Amino acid sequence: MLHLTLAWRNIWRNQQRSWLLLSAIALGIAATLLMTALLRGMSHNMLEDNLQILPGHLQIQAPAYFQDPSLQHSLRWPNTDLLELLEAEPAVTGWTPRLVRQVMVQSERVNSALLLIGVDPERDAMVSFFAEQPDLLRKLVDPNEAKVLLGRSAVKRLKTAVGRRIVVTTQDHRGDLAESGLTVVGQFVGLFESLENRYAFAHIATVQRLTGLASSASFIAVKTEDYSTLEGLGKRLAAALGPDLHFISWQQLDPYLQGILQLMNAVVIIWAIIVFIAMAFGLINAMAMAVFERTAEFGLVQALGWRPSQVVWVVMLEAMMLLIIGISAGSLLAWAIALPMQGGIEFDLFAEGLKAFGSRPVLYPTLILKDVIIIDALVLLCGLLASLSPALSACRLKPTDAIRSA
Amino acid sequence: MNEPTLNMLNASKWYHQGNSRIAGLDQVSLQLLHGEFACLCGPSGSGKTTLLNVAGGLDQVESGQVIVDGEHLETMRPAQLSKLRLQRLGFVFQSLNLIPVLSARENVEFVMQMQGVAVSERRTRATEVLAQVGLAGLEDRRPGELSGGQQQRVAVARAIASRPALILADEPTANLDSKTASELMDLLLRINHEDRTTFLISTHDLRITSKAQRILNIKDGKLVSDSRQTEA
Amino acid sequence: MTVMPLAARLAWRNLWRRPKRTVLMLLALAFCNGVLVLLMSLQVATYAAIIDGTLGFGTGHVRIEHQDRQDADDIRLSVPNITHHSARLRDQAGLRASATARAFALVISESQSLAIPVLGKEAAYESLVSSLPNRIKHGRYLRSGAAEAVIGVRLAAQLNVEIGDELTLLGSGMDYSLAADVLTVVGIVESGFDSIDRLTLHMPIERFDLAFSMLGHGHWVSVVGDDALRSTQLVDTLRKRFVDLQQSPIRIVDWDQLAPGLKQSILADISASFIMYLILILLVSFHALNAQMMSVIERTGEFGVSLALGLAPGKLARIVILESLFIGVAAALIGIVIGSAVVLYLSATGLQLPGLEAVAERFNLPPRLYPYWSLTGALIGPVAVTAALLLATVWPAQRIRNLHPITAMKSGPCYT
Repeated sequence: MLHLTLAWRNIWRNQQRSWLLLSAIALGIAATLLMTALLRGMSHNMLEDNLQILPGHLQIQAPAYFQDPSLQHSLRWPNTDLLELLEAEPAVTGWTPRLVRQVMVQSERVNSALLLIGVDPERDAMVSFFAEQPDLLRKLVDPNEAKVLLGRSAVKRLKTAVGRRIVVTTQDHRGDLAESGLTVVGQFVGLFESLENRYAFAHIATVQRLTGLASSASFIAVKTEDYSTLEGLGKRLAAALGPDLHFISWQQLDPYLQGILQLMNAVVIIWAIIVFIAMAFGLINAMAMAVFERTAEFGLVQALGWRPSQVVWVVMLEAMMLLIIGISAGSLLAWAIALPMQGGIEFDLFAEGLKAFGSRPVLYPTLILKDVIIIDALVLLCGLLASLSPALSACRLKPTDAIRSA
Repeated sequence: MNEPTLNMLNASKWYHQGNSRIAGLDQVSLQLLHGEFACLCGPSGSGKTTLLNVAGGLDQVESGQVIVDGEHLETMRPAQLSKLRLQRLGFVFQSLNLIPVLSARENVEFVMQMQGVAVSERRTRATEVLAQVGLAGLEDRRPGELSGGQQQRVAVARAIASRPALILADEPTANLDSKTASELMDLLLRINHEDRTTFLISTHDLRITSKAQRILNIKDGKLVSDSRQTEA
Repeated sequence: MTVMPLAARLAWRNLWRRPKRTVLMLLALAFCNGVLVLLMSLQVATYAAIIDGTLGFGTGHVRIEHQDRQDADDIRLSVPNITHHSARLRDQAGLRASATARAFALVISESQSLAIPVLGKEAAYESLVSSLPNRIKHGRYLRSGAAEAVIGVRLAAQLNVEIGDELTLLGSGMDYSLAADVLTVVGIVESGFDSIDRLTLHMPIERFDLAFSMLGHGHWVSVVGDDALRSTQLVDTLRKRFVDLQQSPIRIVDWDQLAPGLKQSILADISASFIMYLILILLVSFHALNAQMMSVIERTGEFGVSLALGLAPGKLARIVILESLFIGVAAALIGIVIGSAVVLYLSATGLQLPGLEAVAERFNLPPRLYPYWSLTGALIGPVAVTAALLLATVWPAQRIRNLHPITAMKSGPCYT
């Protein structure tokens, strides 16, 4: 207790230095935590947003489909075994079959290309972004009508409008050209222009008729409780699916998303290391100065019978107190800044740029307790390591020398 | 040139401690003529340092006048005082006199450089004054490599380098042993003779005061005696 | 040392009164400088690579196109006499320019069909604006007017075709007529970038003209200057010399309008890293401020004497600032040397980060980052750090200005 009191009073002997040191620690912690929070928020949103556009958290496909997404590699649908399997799996929160076909599209005036996605209008909202626009899928509900939903910018690009017709052309499963007229019944809004531009949605039966492949689907898109832990589910599914069907995770489906996640983690770690080093220099220097100033004092207490280890202990206690105060203040600061921003901060200025990365122009900083604990603990540890050398130099002072230098 | 180098007229200064007012200087009038060598004596707390500070423009009086070399100090702004100290006055303090990282010569030159003396002139002048104080050959030593007496001699050399009108020394021998103190005193007296430099020195060392031309006694901020003695 | 003015000598020696403190401060600043040199060189190189990756496969730095081209994918939003324009830019202004016509078509091989954009290219001039003709993996690039196609390597795999195989194009022409042609694959290109290798089909523009009934129309002329980041100058030159190229409905567009996300993502990245750099500099400045403050406080007594002697406080403050300047410059030099060494090393080996490859793919970047050394990249950081250091010294220096000689001298012995 005496050590604690002594260390605490020593910190405030030189208030200015302590305040500057505390601000530097707090600033470094707050900056690192805020950056982590921003990147966490950004990557979480990116994943949620991008995974619900098309792929889902995982897909079930015929084994060859991933390499060659052609009609020959479609899977049989409906498939009672698979259906029962998905219904029975508790981690699965939604699933939907899709039949995807690249088509040429002609409007009255423009020729272009689109990815035509046949969906089950009853099920797709469970997996995809249509959850936010449920009325649109209802317009596709009749399997016998030839209807299509286009993205807002595709409607513009094709110079067509809701209510007009477009003609889609593709090869059917025999390799012959197949053509079909579809009525545009609605336009959907997507987060990203690429989504609005590249995809068109129709009833799966419409695409089945166009390709001549009744009872088939390209894949089953599945949404799960948590996209970050798919290993267990993957193992269970792989065992149950057998050799005719494959399980493909979002990481395989979209290496970019996986990549940007890893890259963000790498950036956070590199940044944290840089900040640690920058702070460590300051800490070593400040502690060394604090020790130097008290050369005589350390000599005195050793002359009075303190063991060198007790001297080290007091200096380390001082460092620890400074670190704990600085780290707590920095963490609180980060939390105080992040909290009012949890509703999202808009980056209008960089909207297009963020979209180019696949992110919303609104970022939701997410301060995760685990990150806070890891970063704080790391800084504390590194800080204590940095103070070790000044502390050791304090105990190495010989009592007589130390007193003489006063 | 009948005007005194230092002319204090009814100079007063008080220090406040809680509610009480302590007289630092109480209606002090004092004239120091050109070439005089005066010792200021008195017990500690009597006002010696205050008088020297006021005369040296380090502090200002609250009433009365302090005229150094014809300039009224009591009306000057800090920057003017600073300039006056640099150009017209020389100081020798009790301790901490020198800049530790500069050699003896550089310590002397540094102040001259700030006075705006040209490089070649200050180089010769520094060598000259260091020789005058008996430090020839030790010009390149740093203060840490010189004895206490030698350090004070460097300070004296620095003070006389620019030929000031008045040199103020606040207990310059306090940290020296008696032999060294006496030697330093002889040096100051010699300079006073050779250059006709005016000195005002505070001390309570009787062996030193005995050599002074004029002895001023101060007590509780008042000048209680002013005696001239014939040279021994 | 004798040539150094006294004040500089004084400042220099003051630094070495406490060698450990000075060295630690120097290391902290040099570390910060080195990190900034490396990061900024990486940034500059990455932006250049992103721009090249996006623009280098035929987009060009500047385009001449129909003014509504950006909004709608309509074959009729075209520019007449397209090859005439590109020839004028080449012949009269000595610019690197080449014309393109574009239409969607169903591309049919024996086993597959895909709907992709088909590009009509000036066979002889495409290499002026795009690196694709130099990236032929098999076969060769196009010959003017021939019934030939050059396709991307992944497209070839999807269509299951090789050199010598035939492809049938089906689309509709500018006059709504059916457009059809049969082309022989003469070349397969590999750019290394998925989207380009999956979607590229080039045919000679003359052949395209016939197939899609273009009557001499095309969709754009790509122009490439020396530096994508200075494309505004190129636009200005074009506007001055070719007045007819900006008369409605034709317009001259800069690449940042062609790829607005690109410029903004670079700007977003610049501002984000700017904040990070600022924080790093701030951290180190706190440290420097602390060290300088201590050093000034320690010397209070000494400053007091100098002030009593009549030295102007401003001059004493200048010495402290000079001390910072010495450390700052030394740290800048060390940081620049070490940072540059790392940059040069990485410019040969490339920097590998987890996830980088997949992200790079999306932005048409090579799988590793190759920073390159530039004077700007090497100087901005250290200059900013040194400036921050000098700013951080203002406070300690200000302390000297506020010292009173008497009280300062009382504050005790100075360290020697």
